[in-house]
Amino acid sequence: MSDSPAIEVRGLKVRLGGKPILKGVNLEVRQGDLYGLLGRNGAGKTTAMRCLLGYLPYQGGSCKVLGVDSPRIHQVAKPYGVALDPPGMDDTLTLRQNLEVAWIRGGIRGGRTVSEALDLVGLSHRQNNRGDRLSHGQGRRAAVARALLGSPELLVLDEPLSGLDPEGVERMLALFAELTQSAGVTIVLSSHHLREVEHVCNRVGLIEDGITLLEGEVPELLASAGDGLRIRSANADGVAKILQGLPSVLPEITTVGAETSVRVAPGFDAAAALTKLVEEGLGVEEFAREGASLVDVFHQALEKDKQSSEEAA
Amino acid sequence: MIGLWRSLRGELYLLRHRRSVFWMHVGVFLLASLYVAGARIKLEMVKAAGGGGIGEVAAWNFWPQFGDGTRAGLFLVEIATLIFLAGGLPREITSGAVRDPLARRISRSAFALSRCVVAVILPLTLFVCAIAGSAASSALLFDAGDIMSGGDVLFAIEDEGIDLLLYKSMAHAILPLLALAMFSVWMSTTFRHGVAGVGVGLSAMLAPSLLHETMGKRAPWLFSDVLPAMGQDSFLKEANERAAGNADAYPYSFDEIVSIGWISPLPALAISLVFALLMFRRKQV
Repeated sequence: MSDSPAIEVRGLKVRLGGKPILKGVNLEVRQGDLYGLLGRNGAGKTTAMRCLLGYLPYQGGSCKVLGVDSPRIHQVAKPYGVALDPPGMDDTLTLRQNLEVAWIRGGIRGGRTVSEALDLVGLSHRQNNRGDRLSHGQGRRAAVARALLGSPELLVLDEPLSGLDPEGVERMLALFAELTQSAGVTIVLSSHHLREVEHVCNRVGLIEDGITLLEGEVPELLASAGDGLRIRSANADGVAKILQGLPSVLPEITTVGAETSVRVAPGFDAAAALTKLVEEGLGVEEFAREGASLVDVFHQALEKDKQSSEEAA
Repeated sequence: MIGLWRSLRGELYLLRHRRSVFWMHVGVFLLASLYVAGARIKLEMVKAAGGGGIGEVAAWNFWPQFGDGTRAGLFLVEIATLIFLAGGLPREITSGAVRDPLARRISRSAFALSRCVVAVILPLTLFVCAIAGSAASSALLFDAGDIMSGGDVLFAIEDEGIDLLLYKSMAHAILPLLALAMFSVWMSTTFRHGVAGVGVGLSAMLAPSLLHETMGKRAPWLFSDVLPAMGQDSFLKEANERAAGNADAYPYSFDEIVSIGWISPLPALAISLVFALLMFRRKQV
């Protein structure tokens, strides 16, 4: 496997209808990554994907896919699969025919067949349904099946989990993990399902308002976000006051009823904190330390961005 | 396998398997057949009412009915070609269907070129259906041979070369139809919404008819003026008139118009091809 990134986006800028949509997106997806592209609705995830696949011209920066500049993406040597939103099924063809035409266009000679791809996403029983007879979730799965045809070395999937039932989400995530681990396929997926993404992706990037706010390895990002501390006590205000004076406790403390929540930096001494609260006689009923999630990372990054924007203003 | 060849094979697959294309062919065949059947019913009614002038006598013949039926089918062919081709790509862009072929290591130019190549097949196969429907129905319902009245030869089809004229006028329909197909693809790569492409295409089709008085002999230089059904200077229309015995119906020298009409769709074909390819190069999909 080559050391060069599968996808390299630097300072990507896009204007649509005179309005800046992407103002500086930087992404680096390494070969073999299962990369989660995160961001709120309208943040620019799909636009970034369209640019890197050569569907949308861009005005600044650079986009490289498998070593080739996006506008000339048809020159890449290795096959890749794409499933964007909307799924792009031809309504006048059956699901099987939709995949067959993709097979022909790809000049595919080996690897995953139409039947195997449909089986992998659990749509074999729908293969004779026309494109417009598929539900929203089935359409997404169909698009993923089409992207899986042959032996793609890179998959770019826009919201592949959207509209899927919990079982479908689980099945799809297991499939992505399997493809990355066993076949070494590089996968980039955008999603709002942060908890699910956290369990399968090794790297994530967060886009907000057309800018990459953060990017990195999932374990490192979780560690940097610190743990969460949840304390239940009849004297919640007293607890908050004590916590404020402790080292490694991050500034924002939330109190809802009897429950106090706070984030703590690595190195926080939980035993010492609990001893202090007990010594002060605050009647601690529950003291729980919880690891950070991608949701916390997401919110922290957005909060940080908001603060720096306010400071700049 | 090069991208153009793969893309071409994909487009041919779509042409073969799209249900809308299949039903379009059936529709053209039925329209041409039913038009001739309708003509027979109308003639029977006129005959039963005791009418039937010289025009009706001429109409009781395979050749004028075959020409008229084919032209009726061609109205649908022209409309269908415009709607299907000019509206197709914008619909595929909206649904995202066009993204997959471009993700199969097919360049935009190769994809657009393959679409242009296959686009010219569509009106031709539809044209064949119009001819087949009309020929089948005319052969069943009318006799060929000279047009007779009371045992006298009123109009000698073979001596007048009507059969050859009809065949020639049908051959003459091919190039304008190809130009229409290519023009429709150009519209599809230019406009974001299919309805805009179809609207502009329809305007271009109707312009020579609407401006015929103003344009005069310059009209045939527009490919749409010599379209076999909707064209104001349609050779098929002229041939049908002659087959029905109206040899002096044409306003000016037919041969002069024919010489222009043979080549006038070629520039339209070439310009449409070039612009179709150019417009798709930077199209957002």
